[in-house]
Amino acid sequence: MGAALLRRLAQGALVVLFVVATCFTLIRLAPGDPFFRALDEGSVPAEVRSAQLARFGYDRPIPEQFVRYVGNVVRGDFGWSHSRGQPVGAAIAAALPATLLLVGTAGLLAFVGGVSVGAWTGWHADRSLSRGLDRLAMLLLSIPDYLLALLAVMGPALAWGLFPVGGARTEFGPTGLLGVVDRLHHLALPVLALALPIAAVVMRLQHAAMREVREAAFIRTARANGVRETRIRWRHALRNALVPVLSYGGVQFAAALSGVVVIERIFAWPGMGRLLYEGVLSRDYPLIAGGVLVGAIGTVLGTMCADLALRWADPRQRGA
Amino acid sequence: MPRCSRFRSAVLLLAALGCGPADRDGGGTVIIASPADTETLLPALRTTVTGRMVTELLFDPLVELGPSLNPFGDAGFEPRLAASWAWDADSLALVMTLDDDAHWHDGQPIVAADVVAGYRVIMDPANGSPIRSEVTDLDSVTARDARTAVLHFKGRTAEPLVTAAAVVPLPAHLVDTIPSGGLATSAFAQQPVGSGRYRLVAREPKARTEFAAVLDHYRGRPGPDRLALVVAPDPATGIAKLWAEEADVWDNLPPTEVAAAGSHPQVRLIRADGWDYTFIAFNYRDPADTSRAHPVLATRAIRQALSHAVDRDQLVRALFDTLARPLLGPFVRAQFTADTTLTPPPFDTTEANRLLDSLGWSTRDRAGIRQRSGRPLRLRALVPAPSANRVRASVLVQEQLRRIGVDLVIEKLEGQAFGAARDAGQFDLVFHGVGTTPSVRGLRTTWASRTPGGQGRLNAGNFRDSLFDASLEAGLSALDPERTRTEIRTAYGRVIDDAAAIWLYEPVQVAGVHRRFLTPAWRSDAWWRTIGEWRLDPAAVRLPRDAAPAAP
Amino acid sequence: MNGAPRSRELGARLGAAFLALVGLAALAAPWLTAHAPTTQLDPVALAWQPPSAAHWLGTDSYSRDVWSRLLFGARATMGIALLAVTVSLTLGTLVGALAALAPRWIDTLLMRATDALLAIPRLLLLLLVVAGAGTLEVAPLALLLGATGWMTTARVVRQESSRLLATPHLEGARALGVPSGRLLTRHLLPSLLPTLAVAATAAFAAAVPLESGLSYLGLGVRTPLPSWGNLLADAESQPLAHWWVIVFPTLAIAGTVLAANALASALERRWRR
Repeated sequence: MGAALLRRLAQGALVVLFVVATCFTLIRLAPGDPFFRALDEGSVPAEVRSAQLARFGYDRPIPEQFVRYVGNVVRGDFGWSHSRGQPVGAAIAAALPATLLLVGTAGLLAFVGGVSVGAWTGWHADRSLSRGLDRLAMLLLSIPDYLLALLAVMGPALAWGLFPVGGARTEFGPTGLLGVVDRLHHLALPVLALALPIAAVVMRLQHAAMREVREAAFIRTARANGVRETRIRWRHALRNALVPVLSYGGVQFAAALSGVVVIERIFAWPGMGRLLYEGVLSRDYPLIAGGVLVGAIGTVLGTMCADLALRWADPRQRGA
Repeated sequence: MPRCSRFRSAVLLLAALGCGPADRDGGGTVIIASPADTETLLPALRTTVTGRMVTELLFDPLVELGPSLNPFGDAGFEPRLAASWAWDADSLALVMTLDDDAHWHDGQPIVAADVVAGYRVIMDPANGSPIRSEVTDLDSVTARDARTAVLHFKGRTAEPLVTAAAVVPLPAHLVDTIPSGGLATSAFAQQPVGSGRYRLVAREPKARTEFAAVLDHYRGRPGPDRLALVVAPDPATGIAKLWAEEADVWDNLPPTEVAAAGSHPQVRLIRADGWDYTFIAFNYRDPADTSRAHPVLATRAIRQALSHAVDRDQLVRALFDTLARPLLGPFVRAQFTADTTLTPPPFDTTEANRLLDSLGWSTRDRAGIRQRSGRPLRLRALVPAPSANRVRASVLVQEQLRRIGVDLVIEKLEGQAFGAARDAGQFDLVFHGVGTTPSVRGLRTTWASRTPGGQGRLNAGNFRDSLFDASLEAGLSALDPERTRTEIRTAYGRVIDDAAAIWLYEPVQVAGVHRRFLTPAWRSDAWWRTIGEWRLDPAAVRLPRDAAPAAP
Repeated sequence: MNGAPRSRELGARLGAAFLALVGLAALAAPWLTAHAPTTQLDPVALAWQPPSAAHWLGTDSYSRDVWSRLLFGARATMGIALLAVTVSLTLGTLVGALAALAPRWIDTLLMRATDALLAIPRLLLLLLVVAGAGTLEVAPLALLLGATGWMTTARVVRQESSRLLATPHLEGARALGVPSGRLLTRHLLPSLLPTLAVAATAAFAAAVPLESGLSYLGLGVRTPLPSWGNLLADAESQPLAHWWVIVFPTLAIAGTVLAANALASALERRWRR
């Protein structure tokens, strides 16, 4: 077990290295540089810009830059964010908690909500409420997520004034307990906009799996052997039906980061999605590398957790 | 120049009146929402308009252009850190006497060495200061004594005080220890100690920057106690914040939002002259090989034909309704040198078709696109995706050109890719935008012939005309403002006459401001410069954030 | 049987009918509208016209007929989505099934490579590529979407395949020495069909909105070519004042994805029986 885990961790480290190297290279191949500031401002002469590029070593061959970057990271130096005027470490330290809060809340809501609703509707697939919920999930899935977010800004926030329009907290707002309430108030809409589409997918997967499991041979056997109905449902059926949801969940970490890019832009949320998106637009090489590094580590860890959960849920996978 | 103590006491009096007897309510809190963050906190490193705003709030210049917006000579300027100035006998040295009461935010007095430090930081090539080209008129800056700094000019120039205003003093006791080239990554760049009416309190890059009023400022205590620049990357969200009273200012509302403002009575709209203009520049050089002339567009008649084909009145109405005007040439109407008698080619498709026919582009393919010796009249236009107006303009122009048989291929690129392709000359047409200031020296960057020294960097189409260059330089070195105006207008005429561009539009600025603030006359070129004069309307209902901040 | 009441069958039929209708409308677009999708009638006088007899779905900010743009936009959007799904499904199935059938070390290699690609946020990858390549035409955009979207399918297929291979039927076939290729085409793929149907639905459901999401970020199909994403991107500001430019493309997107979902669930049930 220990050796397997170690091997898995080593593989994960290779994955992270590959991901960072890919983004590191792609962004340097794109036109532009970190010292190009604004669309129509040509006031930085080309020779000044190339001097700056040389100062930070961006004129060196990409492999050489990468090796040096890895060396710096090992020593704990993530470099300087040109577009933010602060160390990359500080930028990520500010953005990561905001995104973890957003994604964590949304992910928890989406999976707990989606699994429980989906399990119920799947088990009671013949009821009209269950069919209605399934259709609602389908409808949610069919609206582009950015549109859902824009509608959330336009409706509840702007037209009805129930929620703040954007940002993570009220400027010069309350502190203490009221401050926490204020933050939750700001969190509500972006979390919903992020969670609803994921919840819909989870619910549909869980619904389908539960229906299938309900008819499965081992459930019928259990039932014939006189195992109690609730035990059948929760111990045997749900556990087996979780397989597709868990394997979906395992791949959702990076996808969630994509969704976060759009949500954070629309809700002016100061998190990792914006950090990466703006990093790409401003060719802030160290910032992108740092953001991708953190994102990749998170994704790899997430996938590993999902795999572990899969082994728990589906004993047949243990040998594989 | 009179010392401005009288002015200062008037401001103090005003402040006392505006804030009520006990000053208990404070001056309120202004939240400025913006789609972009500043790129720096230091004046020497700023490039964008937001950068200008933030650095000008934190740092006072030596002198500042007043409301006349006349950049030539001395008359239009007001004292700031320099309480007065005088020219030395040879008219090449400007002697600046610093204000006795001026202090850095850390309490140190501002001395002549700080002026020298500000200049040195700009001139150090390792710092890569983008405003270095604005001070090339200067030969050196020296400290005559602790309170007197001298700016030595290389020669006579029409806008000496524009140059002087660019030399923003920096605290020598803090910046002199920064190694060469280390300015941008220094601790000072993240936590600057400034001289402006507001000091930095907290900053989260790309999210928010918070400022507090400097209570003992030499120009008097500013009105609002606190400012915050809040970044909303999606303009729709930022403007929605203004409508929802979560923000107090959005300085450039698009026409659709202006139309919607009626349903938000707490926001007052303020119209002001615009300083940005947009045009389509023609590439004079071959995109495949910039050492050769452009195979199609190097001919003036074809540039004229394309100009005649664009209905600019319709374009402006469709994009801006009444909130923009068709552009006249390489200038905006608010500029001192603007010449409204100049007229670009009028909309005339008959003339456009005649010109194209006469140039041999007479046969048409099945889609109606003109051809000459088997080659279709197809042109690639660069459009920056971040500019919604230019993207929309390109769609309208594409259709208008199609009607005279020209196939315009739109290359919509994100900002960096757009800039790179534009600077490399890889296009036939480019939807170009220029942000001007009252000063006309920007023409050196936007329209002067390209030189290795860096002139004409934004002259994307590589327009090259020695008479233009001569008129421009004559204008910029003349000492008589009227002479400057005449020369610059001659230069404008050269660009228009050569049909170097299709002159599209100059938008009017419409700012939205929360009604509880009484604002002085709006400075169209830099509205934030008068934010210290904002007052809470005694009759208006205050918001929770206006409560006086707790004493530090 | 028990889980297939008539209303579900009806839903599936409606879904199929809707998709067929959209497909037909896309093909027959030139005969269904009097206006060309890119023609600007009069950008000043005829912009933002509400739905009327002359313009069934109104006009947009450039005075182009929205009905016509919706019809022609279906071509680009459906084309992109179908091509992208084809690419991602083929790649994903190949990688996933291969990993399940192949020796352990190939399996590990393929799955870790998939993990690695999955660890790059798709939007970031698209952004990086588009930033480098500039404006994209329809086919490269579709290929790009497909090439960046196969990893989820691969993981699910790998998971499902190893589950199936453990069933008595396939275990038996394997024990009897059925060659891998035959095992894949004759035994594994048919059993995978329900999973693939769901995966295809998910990929299709992702590709249609992704196309419009890219347009929202300004990275979509080249103007003035209409696509449903472009329609929405053009409509961005003031959705309440000019509802028709946002409602109809949204309905088209939502309807198409809904129809595809309904159809896929029905197919899945049919195969399972």
